Amino acid sequence: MEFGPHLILALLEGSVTAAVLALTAAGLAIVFGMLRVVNVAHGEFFMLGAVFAWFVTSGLSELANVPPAPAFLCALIVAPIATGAVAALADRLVLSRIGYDPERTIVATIGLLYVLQQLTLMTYGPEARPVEAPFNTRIALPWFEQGSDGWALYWPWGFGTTSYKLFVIGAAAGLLIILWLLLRHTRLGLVMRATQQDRDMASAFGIRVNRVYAMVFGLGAALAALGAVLVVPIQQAHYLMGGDPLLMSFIVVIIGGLGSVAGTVVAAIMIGLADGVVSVFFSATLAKIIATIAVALVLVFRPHGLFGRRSA
Amino acid sequence: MTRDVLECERLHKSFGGVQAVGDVNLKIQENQVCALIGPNGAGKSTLVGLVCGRFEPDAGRIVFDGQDITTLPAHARIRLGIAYTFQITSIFADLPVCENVALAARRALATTGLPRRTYTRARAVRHRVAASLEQVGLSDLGAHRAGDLAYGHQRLLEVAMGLAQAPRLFIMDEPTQGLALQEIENFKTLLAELAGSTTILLIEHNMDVVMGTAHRVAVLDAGSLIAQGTPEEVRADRRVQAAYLGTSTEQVLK
Amino acid sequence: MSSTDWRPLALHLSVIGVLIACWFLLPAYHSGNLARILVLAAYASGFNLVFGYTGLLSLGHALFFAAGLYGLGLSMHHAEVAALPAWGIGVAAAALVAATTGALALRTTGVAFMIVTLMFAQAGFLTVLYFGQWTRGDEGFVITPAARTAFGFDLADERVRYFAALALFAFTLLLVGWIVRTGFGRSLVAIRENEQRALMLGYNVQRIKWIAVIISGAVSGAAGASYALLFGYAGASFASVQYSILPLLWTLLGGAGTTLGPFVGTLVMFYLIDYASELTDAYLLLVGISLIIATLFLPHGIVGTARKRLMRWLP
Repeated sequence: MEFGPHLILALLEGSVTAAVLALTAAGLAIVFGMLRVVNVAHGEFFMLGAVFAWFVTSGLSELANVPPAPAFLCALIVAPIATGAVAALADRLVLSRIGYDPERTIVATIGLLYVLQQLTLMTYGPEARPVEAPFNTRIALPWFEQGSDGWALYWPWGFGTTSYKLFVIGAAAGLLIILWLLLRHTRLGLVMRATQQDRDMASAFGIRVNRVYAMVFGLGAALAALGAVLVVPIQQAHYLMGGDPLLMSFIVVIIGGLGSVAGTVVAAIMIGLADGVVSVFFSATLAKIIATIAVALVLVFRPHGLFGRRSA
Repeated sequence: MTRDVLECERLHKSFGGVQAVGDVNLKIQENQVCALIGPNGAGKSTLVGLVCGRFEPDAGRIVFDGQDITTLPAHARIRLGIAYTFQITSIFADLPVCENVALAARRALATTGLPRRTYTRARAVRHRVAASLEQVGLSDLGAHRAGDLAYGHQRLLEVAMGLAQAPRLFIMDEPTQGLALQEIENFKTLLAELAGSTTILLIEHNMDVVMGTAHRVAVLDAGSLIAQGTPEEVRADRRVQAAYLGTSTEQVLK
Repeated sequence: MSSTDWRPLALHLSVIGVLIACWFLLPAYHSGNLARILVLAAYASGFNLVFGYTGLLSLGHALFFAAGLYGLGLSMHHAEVAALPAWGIGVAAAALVAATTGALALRTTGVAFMIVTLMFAQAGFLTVLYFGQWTRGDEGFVITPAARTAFGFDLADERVRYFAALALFAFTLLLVGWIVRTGFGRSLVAIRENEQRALMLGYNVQRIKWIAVIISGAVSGAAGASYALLFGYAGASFASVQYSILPLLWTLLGGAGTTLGPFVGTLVMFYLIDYASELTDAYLLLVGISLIIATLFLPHGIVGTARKRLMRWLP
């Protein structure tokens, strides 16, 4: 293939990465923005989402012979809710008891990371398992070439995508819009913002702050799980799959300005596309090295993120 | 002949476009107590913050002991002989009282040249700690955890830490705030003892303390110095009465 | 209080004495474990200097451990450097890495510091993978027993290995014990307790922290180099996040800011994991549970709690 088709392909792959990353990182950003804690176990909630999706789809198809599409839809609803419930439970049992102290929370969520990961290993096992996509039509893409009789369309071999990948991009965009509406225009969003601004005032107005915190932590985890359910037909579910999304979400949230959801989404699109392009043309490891060092340097020299506003 | 220990020339400092200190000129002579007064938010803490390097001035010059220190970092200024006690008590709460003072003494002695032998060095620190605690009357509490002290004692501990630094200029930010009447009286006595040998810049709200101990008074209002002089001169200044003393004029003049 | 207190030194020397006796008393299986524990405890002690005493929570110490490990490993494996100079290269490499990453990371504080150190270590881990041609990545490489000799001793020999590990640990323990009693060590505690106050007493806080990071990095590097030398293997897993988390766990569990805490924590955790891995593959579960329990219920760790309850003088 030539450079042109190659680049388009890289951008398409990048868009899928960006879509999933935006959802996952938005979850991390909401938790950081509201609770002011860094959740190191965020990647494990992603992994849980994928594993739950596998349990739901394979369970439904084996026991009830449900076809892939409804089974997948079911997973798309059940897995995030189940993951959110696990997270809310962890919040009640651990985080609320250490008062969301930023440093102790990091240590505790590292512990949570190992607990979730190893419990998955014990129950789900070490295998990587696929989830069947609800639909997966191949879409070949055309390209232009200047031949002897001027420009002509043709279909290069291997140049194409699948309907499912396009669906992932669309679904992620839709979900992010729903998230935005939820945060801006519902009572839940209002309660969340009130609690964030002034915890004591909110509780004076009868808001149960503890419950809001648990809900926020659950919502953050559910978003990671949503991203995972979307990606699992492409990537397979595995108990160690949480590491990469965690790292990438960190990068995105930091560049996006620590806690700002809009900044996070913009950063996710940038990083996702860049990752797609870089890993097609360069070594993936080298790309990651550069990305991690870049994040460290952003934090050192621009502590409010590239897009973050200075706040007291 | 007396010399100036501290000289501020045309100091400016704004935070996010709001002027906190504007065009301040201030001189403090050796071994004098200079009180800095003014209403809340007048910029007193910002001004001393500029002097000891907690903030960087936007413009102006700070000269300490004949040396321009405008661009020096905080720790370097402290080493030249400035001590600063915080407005809100700031001690090492989890460490014993004597270790709090020892941390101050050890650093200060290191600047003046510590004895090389570990043993003599430890002894020098110990002497300085004992003397400082003695001076503020905390000798008996040396082994206590600093955070367990009563509030008044914590403030005295702050002063003891400053004394252990043997400073050329001792800046105290509202040292009597929150003290009981008797404690304030004791503090005045302490200040009077120090006055002959140490230069002191005192931020103070308690007019009784100011009028009773200060050689000179500087009045800050909305970031500008509006008056400077002896306590009597400042007391008589109409602008001071108008701007700062306001309704409580009688109280102060009585 | 500031007069010389002989109890900490006596305690440290008796711990070392007991560990010497252990070689003669314990069965081979346990003294083999103990050799490993001693090297790892030296690593945790280096970490503790920054975390426990200075109050800086680094999540990237694996970078320093791995710098020591690979500094020694690569120079012995590819350049056929003798064991002792290679060990020196390892320590120097770790100190150098600590100096550069420390200078950058210390511009941040709190959570940002934790993430920056984590990122640097991750970059280091990925670098090890990237240069797989030399490091052989995850698989790692073996350092030939023939090269592992120093002062005419065969370091692959069980007994020599035990005492070499003990020497490293004893040196680290006495070093940390000494440092925390000096004016420098006390200024570290002052920074941990109240950084602003320390600054306003004239301490050059940034510089002191930096020196602490370099010493800590060098000690961690010495442990890494010794690990590769004594156990004859270097692999990428020693550079992974897990090896940054483990010293944190050991130190937290044993007692941050106590000289013996890291050793106690390493010992307890090693045997817990040893026991659990006989039962299940998912022995890391225990690491997770211990971390959560330590944060919830043991904020001062084992030795720290002992100090609070029983012996105020514990170092």
